[in-house]
Amino acid sequence: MLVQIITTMLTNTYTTDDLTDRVALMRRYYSVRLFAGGEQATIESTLADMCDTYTLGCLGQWHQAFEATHISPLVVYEALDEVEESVAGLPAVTLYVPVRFGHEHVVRFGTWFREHVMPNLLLTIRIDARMVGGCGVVWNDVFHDLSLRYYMDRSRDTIITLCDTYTHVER
Amino acid sequence: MSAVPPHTIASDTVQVSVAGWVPVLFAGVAIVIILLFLIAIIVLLRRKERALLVSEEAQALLAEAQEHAGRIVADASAEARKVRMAIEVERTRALNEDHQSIDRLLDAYRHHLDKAMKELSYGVEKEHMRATTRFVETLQAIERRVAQNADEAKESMDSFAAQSGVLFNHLTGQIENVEKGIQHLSVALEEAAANESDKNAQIVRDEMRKIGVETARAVTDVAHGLDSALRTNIEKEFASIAGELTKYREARMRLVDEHVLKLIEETAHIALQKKLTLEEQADLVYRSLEEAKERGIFM
Repeated sequence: MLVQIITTMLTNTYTTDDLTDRVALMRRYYSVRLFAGGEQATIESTLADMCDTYTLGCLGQWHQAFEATHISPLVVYEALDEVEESVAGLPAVTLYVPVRFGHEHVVRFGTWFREHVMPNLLLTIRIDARMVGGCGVVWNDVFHDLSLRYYMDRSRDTIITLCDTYTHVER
Repeated sequence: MSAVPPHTIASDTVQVSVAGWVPVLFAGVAIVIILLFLIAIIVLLRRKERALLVSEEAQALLAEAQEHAGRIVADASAEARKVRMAIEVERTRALNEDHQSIDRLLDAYRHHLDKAMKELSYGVEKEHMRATTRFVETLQAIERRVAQNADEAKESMDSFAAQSGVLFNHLTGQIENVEKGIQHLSVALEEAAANESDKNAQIVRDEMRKIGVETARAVTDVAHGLDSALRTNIEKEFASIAGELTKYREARMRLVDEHVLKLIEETAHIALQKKLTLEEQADLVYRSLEEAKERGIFM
């Protein structure tokens, strides 16, 4: 059951930050619904002030998936602690990007990693302006710089030759 | 002459006088009473008259009071206007001060922002300078090595001079030998002159030839030794200096290359950061991810 819940959550969640936030929001929703007499409470009515529309949509998809697979709210609520603990054990990669990207790009990056690197992979996205012209990746505790600096180093000889040509330097 | 008591005559006179003054006295009293009565009437009339005047005074007082009140109201209004004006002035001044405070705050904020930006750029520049300093230190180390090699070259030259000295001493020894040989030869010549013997003359000639050959060989050996030592040392020094110069030039060129690359990188950094759209930035991320995949980073 726990695997099924996590799998459902990962279908539209690609970063550890998003997963943690959304699990907390679901806990809030189920608390109202199960223990505060809010049987008629919906995700929108409970969480509309606490997150954006996109996140509400994702949580709605979770909710629908749980109902479709007959997983009761109480079961989901009781599994949330285990879900949070299990997040740390999921395969993860840290991606350093030069600017803040929106949900659409985060989904595309996450999809790329799950298609090309590992299924169920979670991203930890960090912003670092030095990564302009590309990105940086931490994989298996090793940082790989794939930014402009990397491409310039790779084309170092060409650039210097080009500069020498224009500045008439003889070596 | 008879004396008349004065008091008797006086007493009669007084009696006559009193009797004559009584009506006058009554008349006087009556007049006084009448006067008092008249005065009372006058007083009463006056009081009545005064009672009539009170109403007019009251009106006058009322008018005066109204006028006074009007003046007070006017003064109060004027004072109120003054106070309002003062408040307005104060409010305007306070607003101006607020504006100035806000301006000062904004200036301070801009200043701090500029400072932060400068510190950031100083940080980059500092890093740049650190890298440059490292290169310069490397160059200085090379220069020190060149100087060290120059010292070593001097030592070699000193060594060469010492070797040359040994060779010259050897040569001097050989020359002394030659001189000795010549002395020996002169002695032999004297003996030959004394004996006039062809045999001795032949011995002398052989001795002279022998000495000459040995001397020539010794001089040639010394010359060859000098030439070889000189050539070896000079070639060694030239090779060392040429190597150091090559290293120095390479280091200098590397420094220039680093500057050029840094300049291009910073320019491209600024250009990419400012000019690229979010979609283009995302494309560059994808390109880098594909590059990482091709390099086998995710294996």
